[in-house]
Amino acid sequence: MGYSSVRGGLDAIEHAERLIHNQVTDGGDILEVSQVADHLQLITDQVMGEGGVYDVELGALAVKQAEGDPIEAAFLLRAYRTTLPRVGYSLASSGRELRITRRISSAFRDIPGGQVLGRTRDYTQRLMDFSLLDGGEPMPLGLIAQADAPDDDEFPLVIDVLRAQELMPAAPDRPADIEPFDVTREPLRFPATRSARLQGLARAETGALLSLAYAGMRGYGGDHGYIAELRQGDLPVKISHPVTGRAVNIGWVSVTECYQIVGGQASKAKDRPDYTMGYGMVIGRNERKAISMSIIDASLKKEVKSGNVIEDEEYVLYHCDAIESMGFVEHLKLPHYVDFQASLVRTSKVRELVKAARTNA
Amino acid sequence: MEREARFEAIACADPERLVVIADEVLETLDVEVTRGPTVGLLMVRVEEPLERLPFNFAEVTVSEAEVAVGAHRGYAMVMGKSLERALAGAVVDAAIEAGHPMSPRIEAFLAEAQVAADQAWADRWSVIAPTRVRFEDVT
Repeated sequence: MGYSSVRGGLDAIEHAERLIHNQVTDGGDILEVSQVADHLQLITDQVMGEGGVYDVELGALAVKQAEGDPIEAAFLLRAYRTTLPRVGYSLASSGRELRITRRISSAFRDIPGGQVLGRTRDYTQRLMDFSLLDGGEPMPLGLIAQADAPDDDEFPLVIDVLRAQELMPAAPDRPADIEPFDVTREPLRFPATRSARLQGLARAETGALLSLAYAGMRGYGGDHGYIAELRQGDLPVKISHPVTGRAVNIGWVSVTECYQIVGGQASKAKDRPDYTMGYGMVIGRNERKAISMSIIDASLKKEVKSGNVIEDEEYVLYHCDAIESMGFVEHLKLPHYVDFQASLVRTSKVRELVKAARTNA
Repeated sequence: MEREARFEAIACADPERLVVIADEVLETLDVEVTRGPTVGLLMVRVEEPLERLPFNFAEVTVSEAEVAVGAHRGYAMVMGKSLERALAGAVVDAAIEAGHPMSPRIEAFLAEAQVAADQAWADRWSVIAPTRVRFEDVT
């Protein structure tokens, strides 16, 4: 068997690409992009989150084009975004401004504004619904006629309860003119700023964060904290009007956010058993990722480290990005003919040397 | 209608009707396109709740356009890839700024668009509201 550099294969590559294209576009029932957006919302949300771009139509298109592979779809989004100019930065929105569609707390039963389950399968048995094979039928809802939309301040943050009881540090004044790090513009540097961490985690791969958070909770550097609040809803996107300079809302982005409280241990070194918090915010309905992000955020913020990887920001941020990790692992599929030939030559030489040494011994 | 409210109504108005109205405006108004229309990315910033530090959360696709009618500027930015919608928004914004005779009609359309958007949210909430939990003590 000979190993040497080669060229060619273009026709085969083009044919392989056409096979994928035809799989997506050919056949009896063509999947419309709007169907993906309407009926496969969670995968579309995940792809937008991992691609770091919120556009439901583009997210659904990427899911369709990638045959449902979320990382491949996120890669398509990331590649597409490089073709668009950056028109600017929004004004900073806060989770307090969320238009709530779901809001629960596992730390407190009675929270100001109450718990709102929204759309969830948390309390449902995981049984196959075979009626969907025939399309299924919508179930009647307990519609409240003319329910008024909630007031802006109807769902105050649960962490404010802890702050009011001085169990968490009070909310500081907003720092003046801090320019957040932008991982889409600059390479990560360590130690990373908190803004870089949060941005990196928000666009991380869901499974990677879940795995790290799970390991952390099982004793590898994380905490089994409490979810003070898990919220889903729409976040306003605000800019400064170019003529008047006042804040205006151009639309809404669907998000999930998680406030994870950890700590609470008393010690001689502290005046009181303060709690602290990990924060997660992700695009769309993706609670698994938001909770995982909040666990990892809390671990990365620890002042006293245990030496586990979940507390190591370089480890976490370099290994949680879907596109980076997929690219590096899957590049192994590409030809390494020259590399491997060099390895074979080296191995053959070593074998000869070993053989010669044994003969001379 | 304040300029900011007008901007927000344009952003949520029905695209097809917005374009029809803008086309009608253009039949009687000379408009110079001064920026775009462009599709681009707006980086959405979020304030983290613990230290109140801003961070770059994610990008959204937006379309924006700016036009001039004499000394009057019209501007629109909408979410998504829709050059026509952004340009139409800038045109109707400029028309109102310039006191175009269609202004009352445009403002009525935009007020209606804002009411429709508010109603859509209220309708959405009305099916969420029954999932509000009412705990009962079991003793």
